[in-house]
Amino acid sequence: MPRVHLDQLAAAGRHYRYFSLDTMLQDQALAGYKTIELIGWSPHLLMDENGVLDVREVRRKAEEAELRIGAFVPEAGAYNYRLGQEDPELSGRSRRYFAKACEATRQLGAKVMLVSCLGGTYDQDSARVFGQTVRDLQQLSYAAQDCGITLAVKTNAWNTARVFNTLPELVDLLAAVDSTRVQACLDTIAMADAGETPTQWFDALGGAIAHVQLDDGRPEGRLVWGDGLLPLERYLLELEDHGYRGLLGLAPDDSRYLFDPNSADRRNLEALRPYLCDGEAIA
Amino acid sequence: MSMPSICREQVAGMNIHWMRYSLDAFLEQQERLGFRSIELWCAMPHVWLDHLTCPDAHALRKKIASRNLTVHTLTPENCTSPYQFAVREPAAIDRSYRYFSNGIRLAAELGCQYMEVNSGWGYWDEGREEAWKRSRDMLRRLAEFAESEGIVLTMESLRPEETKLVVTLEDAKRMIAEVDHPCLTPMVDTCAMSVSGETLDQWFEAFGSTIHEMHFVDGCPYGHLVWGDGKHHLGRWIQTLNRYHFEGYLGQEITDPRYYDRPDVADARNMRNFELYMKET
Repeated sequence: MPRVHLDQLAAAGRHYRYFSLDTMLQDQALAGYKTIELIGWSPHLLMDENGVLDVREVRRKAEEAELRIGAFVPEAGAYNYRLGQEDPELSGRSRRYFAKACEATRQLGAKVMLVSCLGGTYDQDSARVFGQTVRDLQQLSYAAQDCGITLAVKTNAWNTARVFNTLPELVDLLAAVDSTRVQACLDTIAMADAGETPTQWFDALGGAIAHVQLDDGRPEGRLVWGDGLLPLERYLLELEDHGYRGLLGLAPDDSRYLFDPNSADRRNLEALRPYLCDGEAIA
Repeated sequence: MSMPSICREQVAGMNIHWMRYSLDAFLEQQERLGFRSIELWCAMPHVWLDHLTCPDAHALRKKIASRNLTVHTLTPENCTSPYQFAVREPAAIDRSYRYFSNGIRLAAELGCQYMEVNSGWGYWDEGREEAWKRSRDMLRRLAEFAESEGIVLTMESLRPEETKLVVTLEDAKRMIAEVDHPCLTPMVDTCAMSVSGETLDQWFEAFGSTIHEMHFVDGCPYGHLVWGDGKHHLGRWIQTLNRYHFEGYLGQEITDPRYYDRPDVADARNMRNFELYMKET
């Protein structure tokens, strides 16, 4: 049976969008998590291209709740800021936003910042989108270097965007960016959507997988483990076989969890309990 | 009884399900498919609106007019963006007010009559009345600013999954009465209305001619669907509109991801169904 450590499990909070940051942190700590994946979005964090408000206060609150911020996720999908935008002015504003997010990642004490490359539309030239995304990530890699963090770039599920949906596309992107500060995030939803496996990811990228988002799905959706149909144990076994010791982000995001997000987090932890190393206690 | 009918100009194409395509692609197809009106959803990749800046209204207006389209209603993204009407923190209130007032300015510069709003949602771990008061205060401030810009705000109800504030007709009546400003008017969202178990008759009996526009879509009752994909009867609902002499706009707020790949096909089906009830084709 595969084994993971409790502090690898990083609870994210999209399903807490109607609750305050204080409630989210308290709930996740009480549920038994030691690590969180903090999403940089309202109402939990206000950020724009000029900076991020109250970062130190947010870190203080997390530490008070005895939670470590393992990864930071600047909101990309619901906001205007996108990497790979065609318009030079908007592209510049987006790069500034993500650069500020790098600094926020450092200030929050996290080592990894998750990045989704969503820029571009179906009727845009895909080579231009690719080229612009490469340029944006190269610029961002300098900010990551200055802040001592690593960017973890995800592939996108089909219903999220129609760029960078597959492992080969991500491999090409990372090769073109060519920076040790820009690595991959294995997202089980996007991976399963593309018909791929963790083994294929590790065979292609080796140690350049900086983060894993471990969610259930059908394969669409982002669900609590058990609500979808993905093979949790097999995925954990493949991660272990390839020596992955990084974070496992748990980020349920479905309207069914909005009324009782704490219950979703607890169920996720229960689903992972059989795989936790001996001696790890959950509250 | 006369046959139910509407005018082509009332059917306002909207661009949410076009989010995987450019604004140019949306406008081109609306013209090709016979739309004459649009309701402009402001979010990327189509329109960059935020608390810091407004887009170039002149260029946008010219682009819309070049497709023989008129934009009557502006809808700044207000369900998934960082801004909402019942925010609590002072910095968030400031940003949200600036965002929505930028939306009002843009609406005025584009020649719109209306801007769509909702009650926001506050926090679900606070008392409802606290969030309600903040929503009311924000909507009143925005209504006052809208008046100065010649814009009328139209407030839709939301679903229980989105807010605990204005969900039902009674909630809408209370908020409209408490804001008490002529530039905040009620708006029907047929999905929210149906999820609450309400009817068009009930909304018209409550608000009459103060309803100027709607999000008028099919549903089950959940879903913002193309007409024909849900369970409602388009003709019977148009008959109700006729009964209350509604001549306002029917915003086609189609949001289901099933339409994202081929929004043109979705709009073609939608328009074909509306044309069954048009006074002229």
